[in-house]
Amino acid sequence: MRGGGEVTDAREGGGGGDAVRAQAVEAVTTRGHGMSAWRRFFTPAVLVWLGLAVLLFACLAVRETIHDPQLRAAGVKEATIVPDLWLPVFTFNGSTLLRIRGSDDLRVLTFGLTPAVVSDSPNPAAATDQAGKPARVTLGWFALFMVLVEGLLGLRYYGGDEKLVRPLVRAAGIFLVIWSFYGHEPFWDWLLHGIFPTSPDLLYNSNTVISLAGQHLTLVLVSSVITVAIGLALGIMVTRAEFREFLPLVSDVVNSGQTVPTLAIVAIMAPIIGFGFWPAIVALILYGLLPVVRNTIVGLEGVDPSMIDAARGMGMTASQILWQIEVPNASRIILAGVRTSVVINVGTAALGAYVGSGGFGNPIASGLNQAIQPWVLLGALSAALLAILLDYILGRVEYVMTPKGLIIER
Amino acid sequence: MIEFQNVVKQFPDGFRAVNGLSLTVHDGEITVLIGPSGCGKTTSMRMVNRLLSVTEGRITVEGRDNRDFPAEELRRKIGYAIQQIGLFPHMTVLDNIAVVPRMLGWEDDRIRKRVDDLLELTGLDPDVNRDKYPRQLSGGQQQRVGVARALGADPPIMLMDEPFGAIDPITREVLQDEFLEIQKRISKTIIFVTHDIDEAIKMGDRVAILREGTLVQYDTPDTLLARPKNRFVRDFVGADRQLKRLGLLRVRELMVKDSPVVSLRQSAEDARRAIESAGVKSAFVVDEDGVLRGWVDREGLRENPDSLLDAMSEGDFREIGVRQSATAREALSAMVARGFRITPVVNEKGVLVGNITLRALQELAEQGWAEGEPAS
Amino acid sequence: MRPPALEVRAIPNRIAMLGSAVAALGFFFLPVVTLKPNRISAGVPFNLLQFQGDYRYIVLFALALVPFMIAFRKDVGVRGWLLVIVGNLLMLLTLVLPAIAGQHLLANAKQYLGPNAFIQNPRLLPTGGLALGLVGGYVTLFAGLRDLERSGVQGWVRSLAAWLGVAFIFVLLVAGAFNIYSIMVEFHTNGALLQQKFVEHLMFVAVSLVVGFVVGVGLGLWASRDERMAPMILYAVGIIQTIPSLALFGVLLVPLARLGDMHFLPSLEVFAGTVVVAVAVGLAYRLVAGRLPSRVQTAALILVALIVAVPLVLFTGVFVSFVYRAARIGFGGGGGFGGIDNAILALVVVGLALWAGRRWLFKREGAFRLVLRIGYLLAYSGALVVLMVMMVRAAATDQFLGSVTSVQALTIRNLGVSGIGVAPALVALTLYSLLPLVRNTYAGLENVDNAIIDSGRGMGMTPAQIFFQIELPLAFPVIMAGVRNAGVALVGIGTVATVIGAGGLGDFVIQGIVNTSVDQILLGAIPAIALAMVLDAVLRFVEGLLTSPGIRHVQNT
Repeated sequence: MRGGGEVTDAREGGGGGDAVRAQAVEAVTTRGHGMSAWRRFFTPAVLVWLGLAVLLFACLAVRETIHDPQLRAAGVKEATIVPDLWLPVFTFNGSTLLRIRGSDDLRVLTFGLTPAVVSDSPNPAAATDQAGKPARVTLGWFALFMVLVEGLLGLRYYGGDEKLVRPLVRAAGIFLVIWSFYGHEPFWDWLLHGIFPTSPDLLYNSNTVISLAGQHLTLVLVSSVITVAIGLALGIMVTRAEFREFLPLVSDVVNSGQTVPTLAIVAIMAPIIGFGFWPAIVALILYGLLPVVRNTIVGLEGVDPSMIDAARGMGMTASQILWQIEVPNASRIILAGVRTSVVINVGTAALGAYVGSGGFGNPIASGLNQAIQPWVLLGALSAALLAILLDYILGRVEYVMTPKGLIIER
Repeated sequence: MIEFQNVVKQFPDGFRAVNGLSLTVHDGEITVLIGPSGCGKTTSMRMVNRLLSVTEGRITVEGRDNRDFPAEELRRKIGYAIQQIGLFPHMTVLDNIAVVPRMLGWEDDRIRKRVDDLLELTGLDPDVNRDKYPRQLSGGQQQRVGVARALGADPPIMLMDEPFGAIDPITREVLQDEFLEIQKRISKTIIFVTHDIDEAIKMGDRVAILREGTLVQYDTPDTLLARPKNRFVRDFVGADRQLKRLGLLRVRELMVKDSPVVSLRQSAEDARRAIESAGVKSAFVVDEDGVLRGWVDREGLRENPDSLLDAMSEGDFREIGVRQSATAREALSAMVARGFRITPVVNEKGVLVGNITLRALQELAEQGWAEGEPAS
Repeated sequence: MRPPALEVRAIPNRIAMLGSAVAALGFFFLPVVTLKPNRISAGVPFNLLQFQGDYRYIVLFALALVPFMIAFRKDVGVRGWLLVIVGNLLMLLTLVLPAIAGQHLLANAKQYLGPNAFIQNPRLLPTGGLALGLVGGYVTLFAGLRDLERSGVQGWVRSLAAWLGVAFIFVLLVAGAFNIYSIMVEFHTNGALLQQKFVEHLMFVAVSLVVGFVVGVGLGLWASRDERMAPMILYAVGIIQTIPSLALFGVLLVPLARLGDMHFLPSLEVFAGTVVVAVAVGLAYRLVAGRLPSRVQTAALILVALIVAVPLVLFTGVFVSFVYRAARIGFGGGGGFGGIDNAILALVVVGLALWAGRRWLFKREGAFRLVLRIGYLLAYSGALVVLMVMMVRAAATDQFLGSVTSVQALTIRNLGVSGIGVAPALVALTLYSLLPLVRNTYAGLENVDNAIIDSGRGMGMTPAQIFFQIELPLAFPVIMAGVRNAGVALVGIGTVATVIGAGGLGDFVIQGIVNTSVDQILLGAIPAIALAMVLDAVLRFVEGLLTSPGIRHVQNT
């Protein structure tokens, strides 16, 4: 797994070349002040967003005939493959296809469709549903909005080392785009039909993609929050003088815990706790703890002892030393552990399907069982996308939260 | 004033690092603790701000037992600089220096001003360096920030554990000189730990030599060199202690004004007369500003009796003179190297201010030898 | 002056207290075993204090409290030995005593389970109390070993003390003392199947690891020789690692199924096409990369990495599947472990010989370099010979290509590639092994002190000499650490491969979930854990053997 190598060695830099490098850093940060505002606005990221916007608008012209029997039965015959912006991130509750059909609540299905298509729908309930719906924004406009945001940020911080707003704004933008695609069934229909033109089944029959994404993300987020809380506390505790004697024991357990297969941890929870959400959560926490605890320990142990000596000598209390000196200096390694843990959790959560916890594992497991390849691919692609997305976002968070003084000249 | 009273430090594994140390550190002085490794010098220093606890005896700071204060409060009143510097890499230079002032609740304006003053004092341009991170600084700059940080809240007392130990010899000399200059202005009570006898002699107002946790000799550097108490001290300060002693004396204090001086405007005849009347072999030549330009001797005047310019040996004042701020040891070295028995002394601008003779230096060294040799 | 008698300061051993508490609380609050009437039905839990009429089992509970009392002793050395003994005893008795008590429970199953229970092959399911008893014993043992370490007991004595209890338990296990437990019942009913699945698991892990080693070390070398390629390669293998295993199996299913349908000769053209594209794109990127702004460069990098990965994955996929197929057939035949027995035996003999001769091998400075090279040579030629023997044996059977008689009729599926089955597992596992291998190879080579290389160059060594005599030996422990990490990870991920029909130990786990049978889950999980640990130990041994004594102190993760 990724864990081992994230634990980078944190040897102290220093020596003659520093001054030169410092000058180089300065040169980089002041570069571009002479450029025109126009050129400063169009950063590479802006160009990418702009390209995306053009692409999305162009794709609006593509009218995709829906092939999935479920969607057709729900009255959706034709749609664009470009979703609308999907803002209500957690509206997946109880929104399975069956229920939606039962209650005529088409919101989940049609949220991404253009109005023309909805009005084509033979279902009168869908038309009346129009009135109460929130305003829709097609994703192209959102991409243009991001062009503006990124461009203005570029103007404000051109070539600078701003490392709070920009990375997070970009991460949020990317998340919303991908999340919107999760919420747009016609896109998946188009994609899967393209790959399996002859397959009668395309979309997973017992849940929408967005609800699967929601379940998956909930599993990962809930478990990760608990994991990080426990892992940090444990890692900090065993590196304090009062509990240091437990350090070898904890390290030993953390290292040998690696040999237990994730599937076994997930599996063993079912007979003990039962099927559903919680066994998966417990398994995710247990396995996710390993990288967090290990990296917390390695990070805190790697803090230069002379720094702590200096801090003590200056009259800092033990808790001041921990929170103002040790944790910031170990933050890089700790955050890398958190990132690894979350990414591992995305994978383990997929296995949760076998103990009934939902998520993208469901279409994969059902698809493999019933030999329906589109379902397998749907789940696999979505899960892989989610893992890469979370890895990227956490990478940005890691970058933002690592003190600047530790990143410089590396 | 810091006083060690029969201090004993025994570690949990039974090792007695300090064994009955009694020592008085005087206000406004640099007291150097020195000795071979394992002699307890760092341990003794770390007990002052209670980074280590005292096993027996007590340490008083300004008349009060240091255990009367809460440890953190005590430490905030005592500056602390170590060899590894221990700058916090995630904080800017400003934040590093502001750590203690912030803990003491200073206002931001005051902290900022204090930081700028300290950077100024330690020879770093505040505007350039304030917002840099430690990793953007060179080793010497980092050490300056370390000293500035120790001075952060203007503590009356400072503990310095080989603060210049990890720096190259040339930068170390510079930092030592600068720190002495700073100390002249701020007059802190400083305990300075080192294992380098040259540094001890240079920096210390008083030097305490420790051995296996006990005090062997506690004296001014001059006394220490002139009259080492026993063989251990004599070996420790080294066989060249007489030379080292010369290192303590400044040329300024030794120079005399007995050599004739002639101006470039004067004639060769004037020069000969001056030399003869003084009964010496040569005279120094200066220009109208009093800047040393060379020297002229009897032989030269004999060969060129008409022109002083032709008769004299010209030379840059940096090459032929010694500065009045140089140590006697440097002067001796220069004279031996150039083969002079007498050498001119100049100030920073090259103005001749006096002269110093080899004989004077020799006598000084011999005097110490005679006085210092112990009977046994 | 250090005083002669160094008395280690004796603070209470809190680890021992923890162990004691875990075991005691477990015994007190949780059932030790559950009596099950048959494989499926729920049973009746039994607390340790509930073994009717047999109050001697209280002894176990009392034993759990002993470490707590020992923990306060001041004499660290004696305390350590006491704790080691009690810890071993606690683990042993936690397993043995309930097994003895269980005889009574089984004999009177009707009485305990009620008259309506469908009793068929009743068994004892070990539960929480027993697990915590073992954990408590382990923690106590650990506490004792720490004390022994502090009081200066030699390493091998400590190892012996640590493994003695486990060895004894193993002996009892083999002797059948624990046959009463449900997992052992399961083991005896499924023994032959377990053996087969274990071999399967071992095979696909080993094949993926070997292929992954070749590819990964190659990529790592490339990355370390080519600065511009390094971020690309590391990024690509990093991305693979973030993809969930289940998802990767799923994603591979479709392309591999289609690949399997292709005929061999046209597939070569396709492959050549992807290679050309990848090389062209890679070269183009290398040319322009330096001139691009850093952010564009990153974006381009991702794209290029994906394109370059295509032929790599294709080739690796076919290659690894082919090797596996050849290995299965080549080593198969004899039933059970088949030819693997001999291969393992040969490896063990070679390993022991190397170990026995290690002093002689490493003693002389000059000899070391030579020996290292001979070692590599032996390893490689050995592997080659084994591979060739395998191929010959495989070719000698007609299983290999079946009815295919001409190249035109040959499909990729004949080479072992298919969407469902072992092929996606092999490809996925190989891909997963890349990150630790590439990263460690790269890091190991990058971290070799430049001064050392410089002095080598200064002495007039050629680049090849520098690589083989300086860089490789110095980077070796780090590379081997990567192999270990990869191996341990693959054993774990390999269990998931059951879902795409690759078999292996995961079969038991998934079946166990379906049947809610802890026994079946453990029947898959425990051998997997054991395999991971043994693999780790073996690779550590090899690493120690081939690492210069001069750099053996190097710690690696």
